[in-house]
Amino acid sequence: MSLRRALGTHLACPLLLCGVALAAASASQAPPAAVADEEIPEYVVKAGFLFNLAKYVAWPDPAFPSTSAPIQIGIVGNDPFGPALDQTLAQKSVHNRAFEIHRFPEVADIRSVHILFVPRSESSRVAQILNLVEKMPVLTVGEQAGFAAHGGMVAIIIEGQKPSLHINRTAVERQHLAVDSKLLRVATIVGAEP
Amino acid sequence: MRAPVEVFQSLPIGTKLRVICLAASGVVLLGAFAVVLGVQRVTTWTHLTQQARMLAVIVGDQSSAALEFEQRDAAGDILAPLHADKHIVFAAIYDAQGRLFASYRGDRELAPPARPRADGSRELDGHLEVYEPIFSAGERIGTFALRSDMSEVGERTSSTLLMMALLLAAAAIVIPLLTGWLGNVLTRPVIDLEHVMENMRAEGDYSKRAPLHGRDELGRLVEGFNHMLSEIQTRDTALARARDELEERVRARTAELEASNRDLESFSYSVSHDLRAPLRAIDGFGEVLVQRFSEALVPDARRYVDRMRAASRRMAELIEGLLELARISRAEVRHVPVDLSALAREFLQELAASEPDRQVEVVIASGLETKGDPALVRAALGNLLDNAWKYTRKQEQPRIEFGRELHAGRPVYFVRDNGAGFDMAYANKLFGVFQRLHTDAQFEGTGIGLASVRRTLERHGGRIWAEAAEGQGATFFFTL
Repeated sequence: MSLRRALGTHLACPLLLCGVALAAASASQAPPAAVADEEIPEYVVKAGFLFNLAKYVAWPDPAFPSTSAPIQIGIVGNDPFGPALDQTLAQKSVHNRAFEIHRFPEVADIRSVHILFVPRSESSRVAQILNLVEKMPVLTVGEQAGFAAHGGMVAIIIEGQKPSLHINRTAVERQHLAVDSKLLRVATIVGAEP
Repeated sequence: MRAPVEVFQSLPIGTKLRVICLAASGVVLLGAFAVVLGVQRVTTWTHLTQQARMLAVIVGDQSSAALEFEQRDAAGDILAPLHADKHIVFAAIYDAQGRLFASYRGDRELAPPARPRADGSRELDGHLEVYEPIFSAGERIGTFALRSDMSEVGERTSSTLLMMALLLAAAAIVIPLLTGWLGNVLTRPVIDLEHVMENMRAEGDYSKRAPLHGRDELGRLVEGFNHMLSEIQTRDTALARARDELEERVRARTAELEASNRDLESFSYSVSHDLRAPLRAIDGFGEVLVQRFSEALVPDARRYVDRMRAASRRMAELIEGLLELARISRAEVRHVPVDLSALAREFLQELAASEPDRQVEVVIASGLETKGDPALVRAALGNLLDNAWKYTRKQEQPRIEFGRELHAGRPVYFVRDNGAGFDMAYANKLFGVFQRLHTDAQFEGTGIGLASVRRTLERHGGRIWAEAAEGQGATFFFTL
């Protein structure tokens, strides 16, 4: 097993391109063709990720007025999702909580929500936005590697076809948000103090 | 080559008991082993299936975030520790659409299927395949697949088999020992019984008794045997006593008989002997009377004296016969070769010479020899031939034959004549003393001859009998 895996991970070496290595590689690695056959738009993926994040994050009880109160998602500035987010979250719920989407065109509009999405276009105002929600149990989500490293909580980064998550654990815990260890395990833990 | 059943039949009873116990225990053990193995196989399979499903659920749950956030590398890392279980052939994660998301493969050339099978567990080529749904926040997000080779079932079976083989080997040693020890209760009485019986058969010793070990069937058998032995011993003793008494009685009677016989013989001898003296006086004085006083005797007187003298001579003959008979009884019998043919020839020649007028046809078988006392045998044969000569006197063509025949394979001598013969109704009187079938007027005789012949033959261990018919001649058979 370990040899096969080693062969698979060293696929780059052309000398090892024998049949067995190929078969092992294609089985243990994701077949590129399977992903390529349906080009999923970036923001459809990200909308799904926002929904999924809601499953792996637990907010402190006071964050919800009732046990069935909806999870509120806010989008700062220009909404890059188009209809994707609404379509993704329509009829969806997590632990009996539906979703509500709020759009805050200006920073000043921002209210306390459960998930605040900071699009790439707002990168210049990130510090200001984070400051604003610093005392609130808000899960801040950005799109760039630097977002999580500089005080944001989660960054959803898509490079090529490969998505990755960056999580600033310190920032998350400061707001008493609990992130499921399963999520922490698949994410890249970044940053410490802002 | 004997049949196994026959071989078993001839085994000692103790060995038989061991074989039977061993076979019975073996069958029971093997049966129990089969049940245990079967149950173990089923429970192991069930247990391993449960284990695999639990593992699939746990690892599936652990990989939910990786699946939802499309972190294939992370999913691979979650699956990698499955390497610790060498029985796992492959593990795979499928997304909600049934597409293969990530997989793990063990050492074997077996890839997970492109699409997941139905949820649940199934057996495939001796492997176990488990498909468990992956849930996230109550929503199904994919399927976790796991395939295990289940060689552990075989491994557990092998180790159990090894243990059972050791157990069987131990049983094969312990059971015969135990049977030998406990089986003594059964075999000891039988062996003891056999020893007593063997002793009885070899030495005729009925005094030993088989020891009693218990009150079961064997005990009763031993009791019965002992009782039988006592019975036999009692009867044996009684029989021996009866035999001894009988012998004693026979001896006593024989002695008595011999004594009275001796007395009788000496009495008749002395009487006969003593009777001769007065007879000689009667005859002698009769002769003197005739010779000296013949002129003085009137014819009648002369005739009376003659008759008196004839009677006294006849009485002397009778006495002579009786003495002869006594002599035969007392004489020592020798056993030397005797030529019977020669004796018969000699005797008949003498008879022919004494009566040269008679023409008698004589047939004598030659070469007849036997063993006996020459004087006694000569007298007996002479007596028979004399009789034949005498009783054929009135025959126009007299014929006398001496020969030998085989009766029931034994030689029998005979003297045959074609003379007067006799009525077979009186045949039993023929050989008694003074028993006569004819009057003196017909044929003279003393009535002692055949009695002495019989005595002679009896003293030789032989016997005599006769066949005849009146006027048809007679045949006297005898053996020596």
